[in-house]
Amino acid sequence: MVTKAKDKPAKDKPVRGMSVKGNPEIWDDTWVKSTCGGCYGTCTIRAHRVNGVIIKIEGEPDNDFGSRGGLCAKGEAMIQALYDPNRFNYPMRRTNPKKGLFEDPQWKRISWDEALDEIAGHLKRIRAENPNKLLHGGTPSAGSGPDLPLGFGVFGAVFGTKNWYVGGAGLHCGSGSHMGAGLYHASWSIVPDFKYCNYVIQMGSNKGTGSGHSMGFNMRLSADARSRGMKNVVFDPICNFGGGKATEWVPILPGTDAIIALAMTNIILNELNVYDAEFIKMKTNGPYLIGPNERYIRDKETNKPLIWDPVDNKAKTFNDPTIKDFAILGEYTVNGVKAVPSFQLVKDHVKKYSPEYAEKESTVPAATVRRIAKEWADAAMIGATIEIEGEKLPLRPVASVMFRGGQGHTNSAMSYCAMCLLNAIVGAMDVPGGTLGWPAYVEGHPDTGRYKVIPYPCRDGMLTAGTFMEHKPWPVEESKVPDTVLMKELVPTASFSPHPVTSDFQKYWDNLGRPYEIEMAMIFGANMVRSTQNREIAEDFFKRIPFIVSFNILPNEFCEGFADIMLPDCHPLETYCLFSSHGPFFNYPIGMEGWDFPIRQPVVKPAYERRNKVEALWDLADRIGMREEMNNYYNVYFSSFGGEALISGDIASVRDVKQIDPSKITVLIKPEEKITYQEMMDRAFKFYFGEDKGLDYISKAGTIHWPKKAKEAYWRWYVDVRIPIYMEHIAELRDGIIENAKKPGMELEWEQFTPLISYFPAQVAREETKEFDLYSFSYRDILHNGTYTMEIPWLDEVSQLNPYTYNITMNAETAKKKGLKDGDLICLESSYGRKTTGTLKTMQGQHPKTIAISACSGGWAKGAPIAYGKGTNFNILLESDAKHACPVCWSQETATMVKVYKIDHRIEYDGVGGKKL
Amino acid sequence: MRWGMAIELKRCIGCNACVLACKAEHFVPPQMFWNRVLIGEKGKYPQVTKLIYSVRCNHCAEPKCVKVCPTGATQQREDGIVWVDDEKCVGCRYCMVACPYQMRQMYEEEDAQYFPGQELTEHEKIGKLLYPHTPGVVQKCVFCKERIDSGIAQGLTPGVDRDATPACVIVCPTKAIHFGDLDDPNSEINRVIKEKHAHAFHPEFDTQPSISYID
Amino acid sequence: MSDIKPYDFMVKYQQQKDWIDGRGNFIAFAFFLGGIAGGLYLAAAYFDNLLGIFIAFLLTGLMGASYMLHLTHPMRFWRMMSKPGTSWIARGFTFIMLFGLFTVITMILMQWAPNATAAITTFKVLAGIFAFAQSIYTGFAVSYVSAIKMWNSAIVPVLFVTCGVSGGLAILLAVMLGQNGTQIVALENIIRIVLIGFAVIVAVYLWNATYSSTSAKDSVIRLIGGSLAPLFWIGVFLFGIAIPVAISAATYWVHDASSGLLLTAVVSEIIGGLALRFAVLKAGVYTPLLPAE
Ligand SMILES: Nc1nc2c(c(=O)[nH]1)N[C@H]1C(S)=C(S)[C@@H](COP(=O)(O)OP(=O)(O)OC[C@H]3O[C@@H](n4cnc5c(=O)[nH]c(N)nc54)[C@H](O)[C@@H]3O)O[C@H]1N2
Ligand SMILES: Nc1nc2c(c(=O)[nH]1)N[C@H]1C(S)=C(S)[C@@H](COP(=O)(O)OP(=O)(O)OC[C@H]3O[C@@H](n4cnc5c(=O)[nH]c(N)nc54)[C@H](O)[C@@H]3O)O[C@H]1N2
Ligand code: SF4
Ligand code: SF4
Ligand code: SF4
Ligand code: SF4
Ligand code: SF4
Ligand SMILES: [Mo]
Repeated sequence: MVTKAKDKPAKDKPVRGMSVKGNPEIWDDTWVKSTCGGCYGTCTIRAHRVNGVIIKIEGEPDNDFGSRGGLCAKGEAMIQALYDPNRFNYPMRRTNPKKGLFEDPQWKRISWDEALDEIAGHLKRIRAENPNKLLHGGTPSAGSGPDLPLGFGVFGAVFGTKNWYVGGAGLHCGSGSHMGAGLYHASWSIVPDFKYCNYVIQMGSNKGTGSGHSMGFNMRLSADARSRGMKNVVFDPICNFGGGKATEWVPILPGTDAIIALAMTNIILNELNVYDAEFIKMKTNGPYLIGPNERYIRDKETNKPLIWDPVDNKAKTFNDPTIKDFAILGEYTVNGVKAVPSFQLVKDHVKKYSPEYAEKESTVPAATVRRIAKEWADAAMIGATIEIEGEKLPLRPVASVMFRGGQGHTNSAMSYCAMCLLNAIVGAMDVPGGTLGWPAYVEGHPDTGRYKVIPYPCRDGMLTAGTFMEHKPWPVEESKVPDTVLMKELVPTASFSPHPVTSDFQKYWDNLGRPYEIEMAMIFGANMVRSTQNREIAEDFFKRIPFIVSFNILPNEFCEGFADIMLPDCHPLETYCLFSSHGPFFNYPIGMEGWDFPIRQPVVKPAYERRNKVEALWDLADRIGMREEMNNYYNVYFSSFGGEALISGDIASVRDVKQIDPSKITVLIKPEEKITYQEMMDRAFKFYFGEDKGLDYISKAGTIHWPKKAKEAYWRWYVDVRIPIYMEHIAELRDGIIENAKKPGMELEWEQFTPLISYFPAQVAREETKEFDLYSFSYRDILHNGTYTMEIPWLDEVSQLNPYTYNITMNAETAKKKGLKDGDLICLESSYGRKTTGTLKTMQGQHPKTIAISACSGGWAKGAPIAYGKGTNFNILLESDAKHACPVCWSQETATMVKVYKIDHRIEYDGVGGKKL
Repeated sequence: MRWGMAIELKRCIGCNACVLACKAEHFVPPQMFWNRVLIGEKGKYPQVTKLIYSVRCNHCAEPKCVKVCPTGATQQREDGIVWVDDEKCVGCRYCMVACPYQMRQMYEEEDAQYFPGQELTEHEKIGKLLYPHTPGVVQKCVFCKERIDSGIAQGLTPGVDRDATPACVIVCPTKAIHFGDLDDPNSEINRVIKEKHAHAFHPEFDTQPSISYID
Repeated sequence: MSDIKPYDFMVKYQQQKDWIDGRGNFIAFAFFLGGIAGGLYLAAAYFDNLLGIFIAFLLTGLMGASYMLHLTHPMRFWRMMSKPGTSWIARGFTFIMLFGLFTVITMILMQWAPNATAAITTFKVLAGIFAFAQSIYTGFAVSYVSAIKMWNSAIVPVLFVTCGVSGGLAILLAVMLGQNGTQIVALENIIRIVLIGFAVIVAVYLWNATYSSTSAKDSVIRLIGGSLAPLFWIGVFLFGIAIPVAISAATYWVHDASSGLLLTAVVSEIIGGLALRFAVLKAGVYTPLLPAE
């Protein structure tokens, strides 16, 4: 690898593919293939190391796991993140006993042994008492995103705690999106099939243009699509990333996407009378008969849902082989009660969503809604087919997608499902040109058939993901009186919860009799006080935790304010990682893009005493006698991709979900073995892809690549599964939830627990007054990932060249009316008296009733001097309690009404002991 | 031979990777930019178009900068590349004043650091070895002439082979930038320029840029 | 409109800075000195005033010094003559050198070989040609910059020369006041004409600029009503035109002017000349690459 060429003149050996001046002495000139850690896209990269230093990162041109040779700026900037002199190099102990947002930790260097012994001591005691006293979690965002559940989460899962708190928490990624994508696509999220799609509707996401999953290949694919002439309508309050590249930008008021989607559905179903009847009959629960109690009418014997066969004129179970046709319209009498196919109910239900009503709520002109609905229905080409690799497949070149923005409100679940409904009625789901989930169907490597994931139907015929790492909420569990501080058990459709970082958490916990207290937190990455909703509420919670351990590479606001022990993790460029690319997650190529299993490996050795976090966790496991259990867990985990569909233990009993057959578990790691991380990777690769494809092979090859079959890319019609356009399970859950909420005393918006996808005004809209007249919201900038990258000087420089990144934006006309102008220092104040400040930049491309801040800026950590004071922290404005959470999926309300006025200084820095701003 | 670029605006998303790839390739010092991404808006609410232009020296066929340079430091190679000879520049800044695209910057702050007041990073240090910058002279995009030259020497084709193609071109995640020989009628770039009606940015400046844009 | 933010770079009208801010001040100063030195030489040569010629020579030396201060690599100054074929700076530098050379010869001859009239005249004319060249090239150096519409005008060289000549005449007036010269009245008459000419040229220049392009119009707005208004109205208009014209007029009508008043006019005009260079250089704005609001 390292080529010593000291004796040779450099002239004879130019540094290939790098600009060099003069004749520097070169003794190492090496390219290493790996994956990027800039965001959870984990693009494949090749890093150029010269004389032991990484000098350049390029995208890997030879596979589909990224932009095929390109990178985004964050990816290039990882060099500076790696070499940041502010990084943690040694384990550190807090010597300042006080904890709080602006406290100085007064770090003191300690040894790894001292750190691990102390942590292990706490863990041992807690595990014996009640493992739930450990809160664990971390960042889903930075380059280790996919590494969170597998690399880090496993420890907590084996330890036995259910308190799993993810960075960003309630305003994490997309509680509604994950719920909806899980239900409808057995995936974490969705994306248009850019290759064949002709018409994309985007609601509050910047897929391929600014943020979102799989940014790497989405940037490439969406650019191809634009250049090919794909139409792209973007509903967004701001015309920046998605809107800026759209063929049509439609300004919308935050929180009103559902009514647009429902009005369009109404026009398509009831005015244009267009729908993909075959899809509805075969692929949805549209034909399932619903009784007056909102529930499926079930066969008395088998308990299976019934449908109506109009040919035989009788009710049959949904998978009766004698079915000749499915009735999706009409009204029937079954078992003596009125029975209506759910599609008929949905069709009737959406009638109330007229475009005019939608206009009133969203400000989108009724005529625009009508026109787009018509264009979209036309573009869907219902009935069309396409031949791909010899397979004749339905062609539905339309897709509607949503992510964090559209569903970041108290109507989150409904908004996302309403958007999915649009795709469902035209059959544009996991077929060419339509909306795709991230790969849910993998037949495995051709040599081994391993690394296999196949979705399957549950007992009611509903789509069930083929791996336990796929997203909840399907299959849903029963509601329980909460026993975790997340309180998620109460509402099993929720994927992430804002609790316990809410202002009403303590009240509920009191009402539950305070089952236990969180005595320790173990956090990987994540900036729990800057990226979560409201730093003061977060402070109140984290201050009470007596012992906090944080694994990070860089100081952040959370570490400084609250961590007792800091463990210096490796940067992705200096360590191995298996889980960051162990999919098929939402970093996996979609459509006909090939399969890849790329490697993350060190380009340079970890400097100082930095250590790979997983190995550090294993050391802890050794110390508390948990290594055997972890080894077993990995065995189950890897085996599940050996072709055995399975779901993790505790929900396996629900709705006939497949469980792993213990006899089929391959023992990759013997329980008592203490192997290295590399050894585990080597075994996993060999198990999946063959003896010749171990770590050595993949280290050089960079990825295991094999072509995708059309059947895998567009699996929908190959698997006998249905999706719920009528959410019977929500009706089923409702009474239980209401009952179980009594004990904690939680009041949720019960009306939202309806099986019919509906529009409910978001909490933000209810708070609009004459005084608090502007909707404030945040969005991601392509230059930054969470709070992490704000510390990178190159990105800081280009951020200053960008008019919006560090500024608060507002419609130019609105600003004028308020007597504000570019460059004014302004204060945003919410009706809860929460305030944040920053510099104004007006723009034309913004809804006049809104004011916006680019995501997670406004840093105050002293250990991160580049990020200090840059931009504005939006989250300070947010209120967090049950009222500001979507009752169905528990997304936090991410918009708030504010008033805006000029101010003379940055008040949110008043308490900070550093530089006053 | 005349190297040129054609940039597809529909593809470009303003990610700034081109800027940072150039920074990495040439260890461009803090606050210095050999290329930039300009962001603007056109129109009035709600009919708004966001504008994103990745810009760098246009390697003009009629370069003002070359004309005004009194020392001959700024020169044009046969392949059209306009560059500055660090040894000859006196720092009169006439070229900076004369470039209508404002694509030149004077490198003055020799001690500038990316992490001010902290130790130089290993990366900064190796930059001083691999691509040292002379203070007090004017800098600009050199069309990655080092990559092109060493690439050609190795038998590679700029615009086709990555190692012979400018860093900002190969880094672009949307493949917005095409690079190649404008004098070769069969080159990919000429095909793109013709098919997609590429046009110069501000042709009224009358410098005949080698970079064109596609709407 | 004043200081642009980093993200406004070439998205808004952008004021040129390389030839005005920081070190750039020296180039404005050099242009001013070059103009005034050239003007002074021409005037002094016309009136056969050796002291005036000597001061012109000194001012040219100062110009050179100012130039050197502007360069980041002054030790390489000799390279500046490399490209006289295309570069006005190269040409200018050559003019300065030659002007210096011929002036020195002229002065030597005038001082020590006053009878070599033919030779004196020859070198005086040669020096005169380069004095003119030195004073006008600064205008060409600026007007050649097509990127800056305000500069890219045939009027600029004329303006710079006129301004240089009027400044030169003013200095000569001061010199003559000191020498109790007899030609003061004649000189004053010339000054009056040049001043009026200068005022007219400034007006025409500005007027013309408002029509030539949007960025030149932006420049004019900056000068007349924007951030540069104080510099323009006080520096160029008040000192460069109004005060000298008023004094000039007064001396014309009153026929009796105290040397104090005249010296005021002289100083005022010199300030005005300096202000003009600063004003023009500062008013240089680039046309944005993206449409400006
Ligand atoms: N205003 C606003 N707030 C938001 C959002 C928004 O859109 N607007 N989005 C929300 C969403 S969707 C999310 S997912 C969250 C994300 O929120 P977080 O998960 O808190 O993400 P970051 O703020 O980027 O913090 C990541 C941390 O991980 C560290 N890190 C980076 N790489 C590594 C590594 O390899 N190892 C270790 N140990 N640490 C590492 C970084 O130093 C940084 O401190 O933010 C949420 N907050
Ligand atoms: N560059 C970059 N990429 C990232 C990340 C990052 O931080 N930076 N983070 C990663 C993570 S963790 C995530 S979760 C994904 C998120 O990916 P996205 O979901 O694409 O994230 P955002 O950019 O926050 O998208 C929100 C958009 O919705 C708009 N919006 C806000 N409210 C509403 C609304 O009510 N209705 C509609 N229609 N629009 C609204 C905002 O203006 C913004 O344009 O990105 C991932 N990729
Ligand atoms: S999209 Fe994400 S993973 Fe890909 S290069 Fe950018 S930061 Fe890295
Ligand atoms: S790298 Fe490509 S997409 Fe990104 S800003 Fe540059 S040209 Fe645009
Ligand atoms: S863009 Fe400017 S610097 Fe580049 S060649 Fe043209 S005139 Fe010269
Ligand atoms: S600054 Fe240097 S390169 Fe530019 S014109 Fe002057 S000598 Fe030439
Ligand atoms: S061509 Fe090379 S030097 Fe020019 S901007 Fe691109 S990367 Fe920089
Ligand atoms: Mo996220």
